[in-house]
Amino acid sequence: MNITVRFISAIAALMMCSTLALAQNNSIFTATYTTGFIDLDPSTAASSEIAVLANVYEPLVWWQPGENGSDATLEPGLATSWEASEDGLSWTFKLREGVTFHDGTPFTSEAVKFSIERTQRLEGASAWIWWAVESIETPDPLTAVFKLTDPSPIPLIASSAYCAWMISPMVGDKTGEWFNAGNVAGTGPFTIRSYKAGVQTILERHADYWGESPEGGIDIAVIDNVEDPVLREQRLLGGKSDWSEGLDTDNLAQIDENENVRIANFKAFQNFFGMYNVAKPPLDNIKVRQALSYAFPYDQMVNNIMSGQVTQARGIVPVGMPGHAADAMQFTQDIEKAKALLSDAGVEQDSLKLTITYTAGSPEPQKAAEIYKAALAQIGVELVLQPMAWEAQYELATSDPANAQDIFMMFWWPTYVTSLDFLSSLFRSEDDINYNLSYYKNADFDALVDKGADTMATDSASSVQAFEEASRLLAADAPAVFIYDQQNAYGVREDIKGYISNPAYSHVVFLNQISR
Amino acid sequence: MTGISIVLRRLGMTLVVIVCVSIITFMATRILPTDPAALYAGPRASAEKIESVRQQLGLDNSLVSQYFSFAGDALRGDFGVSFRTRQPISSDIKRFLPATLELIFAAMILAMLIGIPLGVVAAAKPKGFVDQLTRLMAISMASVPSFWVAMILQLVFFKWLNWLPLSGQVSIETTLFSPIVPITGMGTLDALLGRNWVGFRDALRHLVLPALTLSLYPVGLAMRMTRSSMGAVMQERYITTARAMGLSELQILFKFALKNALSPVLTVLGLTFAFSLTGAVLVEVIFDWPGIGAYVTAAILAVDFPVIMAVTLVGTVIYILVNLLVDLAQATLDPRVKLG
Amino acid sequence: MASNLNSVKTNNAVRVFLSDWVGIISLLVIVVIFGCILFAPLLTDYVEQGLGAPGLERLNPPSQDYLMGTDRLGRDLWSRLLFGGRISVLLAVLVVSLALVVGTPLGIIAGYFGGWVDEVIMRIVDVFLAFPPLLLAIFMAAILEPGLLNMVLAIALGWWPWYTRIARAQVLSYRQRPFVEAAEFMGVRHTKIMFRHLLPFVGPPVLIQATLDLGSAILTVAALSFLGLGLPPPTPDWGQIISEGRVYFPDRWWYVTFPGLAIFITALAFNLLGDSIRSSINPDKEI
Repeated sequence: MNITVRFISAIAALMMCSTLALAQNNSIFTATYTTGFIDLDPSTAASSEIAVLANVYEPLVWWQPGENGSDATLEPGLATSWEASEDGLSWTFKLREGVTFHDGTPFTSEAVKFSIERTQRLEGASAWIWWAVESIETPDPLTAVFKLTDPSPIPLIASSAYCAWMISPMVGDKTGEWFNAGNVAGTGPFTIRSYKAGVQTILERHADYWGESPEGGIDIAVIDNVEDPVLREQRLLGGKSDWSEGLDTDNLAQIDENENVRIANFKAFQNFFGMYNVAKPPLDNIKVRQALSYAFPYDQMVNNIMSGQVTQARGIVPVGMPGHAADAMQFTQDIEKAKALLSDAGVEQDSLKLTITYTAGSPEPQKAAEIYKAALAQIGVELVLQPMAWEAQYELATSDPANAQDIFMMFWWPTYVTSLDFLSSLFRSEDDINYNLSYYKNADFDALVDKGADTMATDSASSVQAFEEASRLLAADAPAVFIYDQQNAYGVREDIKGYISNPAYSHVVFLNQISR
Repeated sequence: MTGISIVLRRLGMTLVVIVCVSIITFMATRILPTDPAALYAGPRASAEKIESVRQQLGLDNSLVSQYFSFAGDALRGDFGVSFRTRQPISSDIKRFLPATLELIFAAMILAMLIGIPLGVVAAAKPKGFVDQLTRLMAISMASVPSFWVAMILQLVFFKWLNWLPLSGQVSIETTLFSPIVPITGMGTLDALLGRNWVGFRDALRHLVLPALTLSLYPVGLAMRMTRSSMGAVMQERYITTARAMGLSELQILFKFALKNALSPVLTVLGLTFAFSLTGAVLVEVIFDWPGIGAYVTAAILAVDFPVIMAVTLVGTVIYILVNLLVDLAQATLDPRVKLG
Repeated sequence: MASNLNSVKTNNAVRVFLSDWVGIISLLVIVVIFGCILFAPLLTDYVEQGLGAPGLERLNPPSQDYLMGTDRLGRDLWSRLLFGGRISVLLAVLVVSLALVVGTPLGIIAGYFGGWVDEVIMRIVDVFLAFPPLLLAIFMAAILEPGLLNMVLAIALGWWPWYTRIARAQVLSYRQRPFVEAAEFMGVRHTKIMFRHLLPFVGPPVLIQATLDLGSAILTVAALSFLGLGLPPPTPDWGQIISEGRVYFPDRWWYVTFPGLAIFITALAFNLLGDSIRSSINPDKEI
């Protein structure tokens, strides 16, 4: 064989090997999500796209749950250590050495300054977390100093799932459009290979990642958006998908029985509730709201519909989060009491007709709404079910309250692990409605929440106390029907090792932690 | 009128019909909804987005000028952008159409392979057992909800017998180890063209159930139409003559009768194509088959109206053209058939 | 004289029909189905559940207590099918009625007057027939808000042209008959001629088509509900129940199987009935 032929066959062999390697089952991982991603801009993204962003970008700090709920810790991310000043008005972060962005730019304090300022400037939905940051100083490339207007728990905030990612300053003036075309500018272990909005995102391992990767780790991740729950389940069971969220609760047991798939349950800070439109009579009358809250079939929902996989909510703050008051009022279904309260409030039997909205295609709210309808029929209230797309629901709720729905069913999880994001974001008085979709305005409640916020960084004990007080007040005032706190259940193929879900980063699969 | 002028007249009429169809679909979207811009902008839209869509659609202009810009865009293949996939709808349609065509062709083949012979046998002995049976079968096939049959077939062939796969176009193993190189976009055909026998077998196995489901109604149709046209032909004089001359039944069946019954075969094929276009909408999603039907179903779930609009328009035009082709072919075969 | 001929034909047809056991059985089945639907509350212990009230025994397989098992909210499936059948069948009847009521007069008018009236009406018919029926229904249902009347309208929009064609064809074949010409000559008003004299001849084929269409209407209504374009929740019709049950299939097989059987049997009965009637009236015209 002459040298040309040998050369060619060597190249061919090499190519075949690499193709085979690529085709090896080991290095491709497929995850299936429910809805499409809306916004891949790390400074403004506020929804399910963290499934992608958490693998492409990194924050300064990571939140890690402890063994129990109470010993959660903050672990170094792109920052290795942090320290507050005496007066709590400045935080100094020491940054990790030797990290570069995907575009080759070294990670320095300039990047920290750029990232936070860009987030503040673009005013995305979660940009409020940096409200106390006045400026960021960069005394040297590996030190970033946050200057605050008020004491604020910056390291905790820097571990947020949203709006806390470190972005390469080379991004400059680029807008969300650049990111949504599939471009990346992070430090994470993966980059975006291709992005088809609403359909599929393909991530591939970044060769120059600063950190370690596990043996048999993932090289390519395919993230599919499949809105049909039946297809999600079929693909998981058929091996076309290695991980899936949004599986029907009633099928979990039999999915688990499948020898190739297991159901992994994890703690979450997610809960499910229905906001009453407090601005629209007669829901402005507390007796009416209490009647509605007494009518909800909690036991049936928790133990029968959800097969005991969730726990009944007690107020808005989920159990396990500081600020959750274990003695806050918890309603139980009491039809007689509900009827009495209604007539006390002067509402005649069969005269009240309420509209409830929830995300169409979402099975749990659908079931909850149907059993609520039946329960309310027992107290002479007609409930009209109106499933809508999330955005349409939201539009309706943030328009004129007189025309908005009466009850808005939704899920919530925090931006960073704090009850502030439940109490304040959802119920603090707002003139321009953001997420206070119940139009709740209570000065006493506001005062407690503000107190908790102000002391969060300086006196965490009284901060928690204030939050608990606020929780109690809220639960008794019933601006919403608090239904359940849930955990997250995912379907995973048996041969995937090392998968752990972090409740602070909902529905994220950390691709760099898993292996086959 | 000469043959050519009849054809031309028919073509002209088809064109008029297409234009009218476009006008009706256009008018429906402008007159019926409370806010056309909101309908197009979709459920995700903010007030600003709706405003910008209103500008885009030119809703402040006169209906006539709106129609012309709409028609102009449609002719150029511009149907707007799907807000689920963020892609231009025309490129989405191009991407998904081959898979649906694969199903439709498979259904047509099944309709011919199964339906026609059965129809022939039924025609051979009118009122006989096979005749009654095929009549019953054909009506049954036309009475069954296709999406339900799809699931029952999955139950029988996947869950119980485990002969055929549950869903999808190819299995994960094929995608990883013997991937089919896309040429036409149709799995089985591409595998064949690429001599990928493993892939071909896999793609074929995945094709069976969806094609079978889609072909149920066409098979019934084929049975009945073959039978009825053959039945009519069988009574013709020249058949009796042939019988008298001593030709065997079989010879008569296949030499004379079937040839003259070809016209209804064309009708069947055309009707199969047309029926399968809409049948695919119900069947594809059950089998996770990545075709136009699944695309529209996902659009319905996401209230992605531009997609629904585009697929309705494109689907209707295809339907019209197929009907036209069938009519023309029939007229060529049988000059007695009126075109106009 | 014309009426005598008609009654002789009818008698013949009835006799032929009665000898067709398939037709009789399907008629009986339809009567049974309508009976079940009408007397639904009497046929089940779980009337409340049939109307939507949730129960606690969720996703139970068929048993002595629950004939066809229970659904995801613990409702007895048999009851749901009974009450859901009211909606499915009602919708189908409304669709066919609307199509018939709109299409037939147009066809009579077109056939009777001929000329440009005929041209205009038939061109409109051609345009509407150009749409694949299900696509048109999906399109209209997507534009209109969910609701009973809108759904009926969306489907009927693709079907009325058939009735126009049938009515017109009938009118054309009877148009030149002596009795019609005589009436015209005597100055009888057009409307009277059309709807007094010609309608009886238009009636039978239109009604046959209507019976056949009831079968297809059941299927189309189910298809739209299955796709999610049906009535707002929690009104169940058979197609919607199948859509709900899909995620539990095939393990909880009853959820999908029984509503599907209901649709199949109902559509089959209507189709067989219509086919039998048609064969009875045209015994030599084998389809």
